[in-house]
Amino acid sequence: MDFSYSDIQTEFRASLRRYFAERNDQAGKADPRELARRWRAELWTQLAELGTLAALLPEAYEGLGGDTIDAIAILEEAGRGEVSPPIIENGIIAAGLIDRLGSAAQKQALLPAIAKASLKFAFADGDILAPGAPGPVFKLTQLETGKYRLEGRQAMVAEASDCDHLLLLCGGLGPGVTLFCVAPAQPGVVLRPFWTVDDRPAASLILDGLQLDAAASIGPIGGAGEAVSDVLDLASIAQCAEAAGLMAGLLNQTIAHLKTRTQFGQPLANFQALQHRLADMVAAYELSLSLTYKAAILSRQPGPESQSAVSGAKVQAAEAARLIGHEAIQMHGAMGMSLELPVGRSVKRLKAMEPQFGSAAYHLGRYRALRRARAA
Amino acid sequence: MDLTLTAAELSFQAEVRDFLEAELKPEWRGVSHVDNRTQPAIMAQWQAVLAKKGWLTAGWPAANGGLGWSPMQHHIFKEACSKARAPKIPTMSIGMIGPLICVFGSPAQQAFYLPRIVSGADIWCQGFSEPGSGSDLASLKTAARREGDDYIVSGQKIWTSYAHLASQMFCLVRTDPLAARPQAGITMLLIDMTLPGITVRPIRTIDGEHHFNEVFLDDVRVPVRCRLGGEHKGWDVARALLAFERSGIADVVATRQVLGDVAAIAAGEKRDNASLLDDDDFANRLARLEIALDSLEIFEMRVMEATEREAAKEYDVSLLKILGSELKQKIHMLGIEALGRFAAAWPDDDAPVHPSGAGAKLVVDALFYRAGSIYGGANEIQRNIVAKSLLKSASEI
Repeated sequence: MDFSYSDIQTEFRASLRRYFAERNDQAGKADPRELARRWRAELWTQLAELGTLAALLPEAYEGLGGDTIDAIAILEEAGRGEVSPPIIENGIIAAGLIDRLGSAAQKQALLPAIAKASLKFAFADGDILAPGAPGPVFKLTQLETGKYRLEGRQAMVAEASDCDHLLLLCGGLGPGVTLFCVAPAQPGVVLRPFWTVDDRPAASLILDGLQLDAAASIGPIGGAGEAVSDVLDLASIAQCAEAAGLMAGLLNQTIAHLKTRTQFGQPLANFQALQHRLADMVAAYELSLSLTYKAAILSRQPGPESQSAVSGAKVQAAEAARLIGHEAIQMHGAMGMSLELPVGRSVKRLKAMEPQFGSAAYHLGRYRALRRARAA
Repeated sequence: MDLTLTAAELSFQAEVRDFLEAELKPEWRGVSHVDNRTQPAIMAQWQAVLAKKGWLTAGWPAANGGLGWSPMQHHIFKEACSKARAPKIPTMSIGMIGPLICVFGSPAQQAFYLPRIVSGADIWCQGFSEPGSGSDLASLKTAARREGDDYIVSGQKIWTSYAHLASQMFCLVRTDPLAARPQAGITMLLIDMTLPGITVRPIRTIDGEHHFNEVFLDDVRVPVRCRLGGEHKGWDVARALLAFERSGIADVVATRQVLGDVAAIAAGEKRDNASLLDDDDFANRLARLEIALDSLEIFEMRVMEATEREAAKEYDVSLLKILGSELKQKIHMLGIEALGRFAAAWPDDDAPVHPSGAGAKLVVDALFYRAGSIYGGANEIQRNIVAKSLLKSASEI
């Protein structure tokens, strides 16, 4: 049994931590959205140079051949560093889906470009993980052999307003789901850009008479389901790790604030009402991190046990994020409300994450279903 | 990172399982440790079986019969015992005073007490709390004054678990009322419960049982040779308890069994072919607790593994105690809710039985286990420990 990172991973984490700390020093108190506009491209290139995007790619395609543990090492640091570039959307989702489903030519054309950050992807999951939704919202119909038409709309697609390719998950032809790769400028694709609460570019996506060739599909028609399920589980794990990093940051900021802020002639750290709440925050953090590690370890062999762990980790992370986030703001007092402090920005990032890759409600339902199946 | 056990750990796990399979009699399994009618006799028999194997004192120092197990081995052993529903090993004697005597006892004390602890000839109780001294233990007032080769002890202990069954009590007394710090005037005495001047009075608890007692000490003459550690050094002796092997403190396996009981209760009563388990609100809350338990299980293993690497944080054990006790309480309460109106019946022989057949024990256990967040250092004290450690540490999380 081992819950530690390898020496190489530890070294990698340390270098990322130094890099993010320097960036944050330079950023100072700049407006987060302004910062996102100004630095996104530059940050993106540098993150690629550091290897964060190549980490999970196979070595044959200029990747580093890493596994989920490497991914959580990177994302924990991204969380601590309060940066939200789309590492998960590209390094895990796009890379994972294309690697699992793509043809040799597609892999050769796209994977090295992901590693180098020369192509950016957004993934429109068709709301498949929305609780109660009837299935993928993008409906595929066949026009003639090798020609397809796609209709539908998704209100929120992260990164969609700042990407080179859209990966679309579609249903409609038989029971399976199909992955297509299209350019945002293609006729029939309408994007209505907006910013997310955590200052990331996003868009509403409307597909109106989008016509596609079979060549645009990644993998067989109706054959993407298992790969999508596994890759979204990896994305969830990575996201839980990023959440853990953000929560660690919030805890450290709150502890520092309690030590230094003086009221009634003494540091806030002296007040037991705050001490006990701090203890509960740390307890929530440790529980959440624990299940994230379990899910990461089990993801080496995807199956019902790893899926239960992923769903458990998402539920636990959502609960911990709310407790820690809200308490961090409360304990900072009015300062916690200021956009200049990282506290509120981290809380917003945690909020934006929560519904991605399946809300806590979706994952609680999936956990129950998996448990019931095991018991039967 | 990985979750697998080493080959050596796996073979140890198999050895423990085989041993339990062979030695643990069916009628010993599942005896609730809060059942005073059957538990003491069974516990003694189980203790003898473990002593013969050498595993009873595995956590003691090597010179006193310890086996030098790794934290993971202790974890594996306790987990297997819990899964087999083995009787609890008596904490006061095997987990607390035994190892304390190993560390602080004179050769004569070790020769006298340790074999009697191992054989079960002595049952021990802990004389710490007093009417005016609970969480603030250092304020204790029971006085011991030196008279020749004896201490004359007068005062009162309270909440003394199983004092009515015990033959010995390890007891903190005040030997120096004028010490600059209250902690500096305290001594630990090993008191023979048959000595003249000791009166034990029962305190019945809300589960209807007799666990607790008041112990009155009225000019009890305790020989100086029964002092453990130096005079006025009792606080250091007691504090050493904190450093002992603490695996299993989160009690995950036993709590998972309670969770299973709760699910069985919820599934046990059907109306229109649906049970409470089909109710979304109930099933969500049950799943939520199960996820918390899954998390706690891994957190405990992380602490275990970090302890082996000497990388555990000083507050980790406190977090495990807080999380383990409060989660078990929440699961108990969900079980009471699942029992519905049956939970209101006191589980005498003539009480109605829930359709699941389970339940009566859960009510009593749930009532008893309100103590889980009080004993062993109240959870408020544990939260103090966690927060103070975080707030004084220079390093970040």
